Amino acid sequence: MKLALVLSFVLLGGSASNRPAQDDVPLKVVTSLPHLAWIAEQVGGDRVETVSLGRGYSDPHRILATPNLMQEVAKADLFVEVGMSLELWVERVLNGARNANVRRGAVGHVFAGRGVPVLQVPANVTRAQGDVHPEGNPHVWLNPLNVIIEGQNIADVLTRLDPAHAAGYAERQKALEKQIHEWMYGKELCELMTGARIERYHRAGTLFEFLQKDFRGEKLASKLGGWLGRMYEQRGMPLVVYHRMWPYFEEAFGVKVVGEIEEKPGVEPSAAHLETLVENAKLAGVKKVIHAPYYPQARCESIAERMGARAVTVPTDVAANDDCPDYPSFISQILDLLLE
Amino acid sequence: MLPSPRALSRMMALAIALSPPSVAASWQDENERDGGPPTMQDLQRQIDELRERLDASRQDDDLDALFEEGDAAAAVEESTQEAQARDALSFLPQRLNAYNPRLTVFGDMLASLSASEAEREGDDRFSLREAEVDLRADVDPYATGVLILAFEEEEPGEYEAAVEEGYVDFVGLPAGLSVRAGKFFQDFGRINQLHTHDLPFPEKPLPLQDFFGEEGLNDAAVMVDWLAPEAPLRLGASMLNGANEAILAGPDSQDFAYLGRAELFADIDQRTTLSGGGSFLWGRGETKERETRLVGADMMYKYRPDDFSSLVVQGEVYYLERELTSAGGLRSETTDYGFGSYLYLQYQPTRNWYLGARWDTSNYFEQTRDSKHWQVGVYVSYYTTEFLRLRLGYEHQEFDPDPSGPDPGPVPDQDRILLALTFVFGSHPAEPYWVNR
Repeated sequence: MKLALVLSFVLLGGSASNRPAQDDVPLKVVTSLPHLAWIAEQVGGDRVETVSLGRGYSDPHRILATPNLMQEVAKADLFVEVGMSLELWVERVLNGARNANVRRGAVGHVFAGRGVPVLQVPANVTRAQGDVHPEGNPHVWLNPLNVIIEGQNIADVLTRLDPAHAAGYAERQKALEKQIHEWMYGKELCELMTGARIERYHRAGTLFEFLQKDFRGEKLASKLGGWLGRMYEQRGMPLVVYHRMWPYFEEAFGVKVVGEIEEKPGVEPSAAHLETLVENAKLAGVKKVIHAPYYPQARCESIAERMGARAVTVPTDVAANDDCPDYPSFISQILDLLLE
Repeated sequence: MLPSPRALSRMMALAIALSPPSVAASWQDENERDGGPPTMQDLQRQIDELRERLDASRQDDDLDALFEEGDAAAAVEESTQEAQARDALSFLPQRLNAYNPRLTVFGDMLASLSASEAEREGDDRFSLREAEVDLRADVDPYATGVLILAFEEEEPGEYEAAVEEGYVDFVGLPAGLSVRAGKFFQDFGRINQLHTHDLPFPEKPLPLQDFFGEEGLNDAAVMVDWLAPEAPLRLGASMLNGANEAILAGPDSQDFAYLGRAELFADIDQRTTLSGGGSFLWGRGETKERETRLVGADMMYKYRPDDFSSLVVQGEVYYLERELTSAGGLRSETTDYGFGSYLYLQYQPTRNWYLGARWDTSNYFEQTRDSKHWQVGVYVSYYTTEFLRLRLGYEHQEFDPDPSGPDPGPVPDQDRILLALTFVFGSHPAEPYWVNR
């Protein structure tokens, strides 16, 4: 009987609870990927300390769940992952970390991708289609507008964990939204139309048409600046990519992915697949084959050569290399590489 | 050509009449302040200013009209998008199935082609040696549950169903503690916890086969495990039945056995990880008076120059002391000493190919001490995807019986070619499989 009491105390009653947030101690935010750490810093300000388990140059699907990562999570007040079955290794890390506060479903856990308008939800979930994600394509951060949603998700949980500083989180989230809009569309158009309205048209898919309208003798598009301003004339740019991870980038910048080197997500290409791909790429006039740093460069080069195109290694997350330590430099670098 | 000052003045007057009162007032104020009639440049500047203000107010009207159109166009698209979203989330009356465990099926097929005269059991035939069903789910806020059912081919064509593992992990514990209770592969060394289909080679290394038997060290137990908060250290302790037949008391065991493990680990840099550990097992053997002690040490080094290539070096050593009743009489006691080790190297040149080589020794074959049992094997594994693996292996095994022990008869050297196929389907969990595959 005594043993039963002790056991029930140890196994059930001893459960940790989220520690109350204290003014002088920042919350420890551990994220699966670097861009999430950047977002958490923007939204959390000096109230958070962030660590990303994944590195910018690593495949987010294939991170080694070492005990060192578990120790980081053991100390976390908040754990952030994109979700949508992107970070399969996270489950092992969360199990090994023994931190009940940040397990999936707990208060201190966030799926940052929640609420993002999801693309490529498979109609038929089967591994015959390769590594398709039942919830849809998870590479949402390649559309900067989705970063606003990821920021909101993180801000919501920070507010719940640390209600005394709710106003600060709300303010910084607003500032992040404004900043993303200005980076995306330029200050001038944001002042003319408001960022929210541009985003609305962009999401609805009517922005490019709207920008064709005349305004004071000029097309509205002449007011467009920022990242989209740089890509505007290149919209429709045909691209071949290695892995099916670019639909959100297409959505944001109007480029057109003609085909993927992988036959199906996670499945190496056959000769027949490559032949069709090369033909299609030639027809579409593809000039660039883009791939994440962790895919084989030499292989992409030889395939690109057959298309009369060039293979370009592009970063696919923040801190993929020394020149993109934050989100704006990360997106800028992709655009630089596409436009060069 | 510029208009005459007279014409300009008239235009200004007209503009003032058309403009809001404040503009007119400011124009007059400015003229009065300056004193004297306005110069040509002043007038020109003021006209430009007025034109800009007029444009600005017209611009607002233009923009509002544009936005009206733009909003309407966006609204049409949005309503389509919303309808699609509603469609996707249409009313789901019963979602109780969502509580069902995640289910994964593993199949493991082996063919061993023997080149030796003396054939081992299972030589020269295909065998679906094991099929496993893996079920796992959260039990409640305090525990997660795992049940693994195995169907093993014990005799050619005959399958035996067994609960290979069934346990709960208590997850809500403080201070880096976790508790596992149930039946599971014990935390001794590095390979013992892996299921057959997770092994980086077709069969377990000789010391594991010789010391733990075919089924491995698998027992009903309670395990407490601690992950240090700062130091790179994990400690585990288990209390188990001692049901292992090879070195402990067997299924009829009436005393608990105890197991401890310490593991140190370090991510040396972002590409390299190193870990080492020590394990200890103590339990009753043959009888209540006879003890068994097993000590193990292990290490693993893994280097990943990029996400699709890797190098692994892994090794373990085992040292056994097992007290036995000697053949001389009931009361006299002798102690068996066993020693075993393996060293495994694995190189992954590209995403889907793995090349491995392993060297094993053991002197505890079929529980006869001082025999010499060793094996060398080379393996090539190819993954079509994470879910299907083809493996080709070659193993050479030699056995020298203990000259002072009972004569096991002639045991010739063995040369085998192994063909293995492993498949996984279902909601495959992220398991150690990923690390060592």
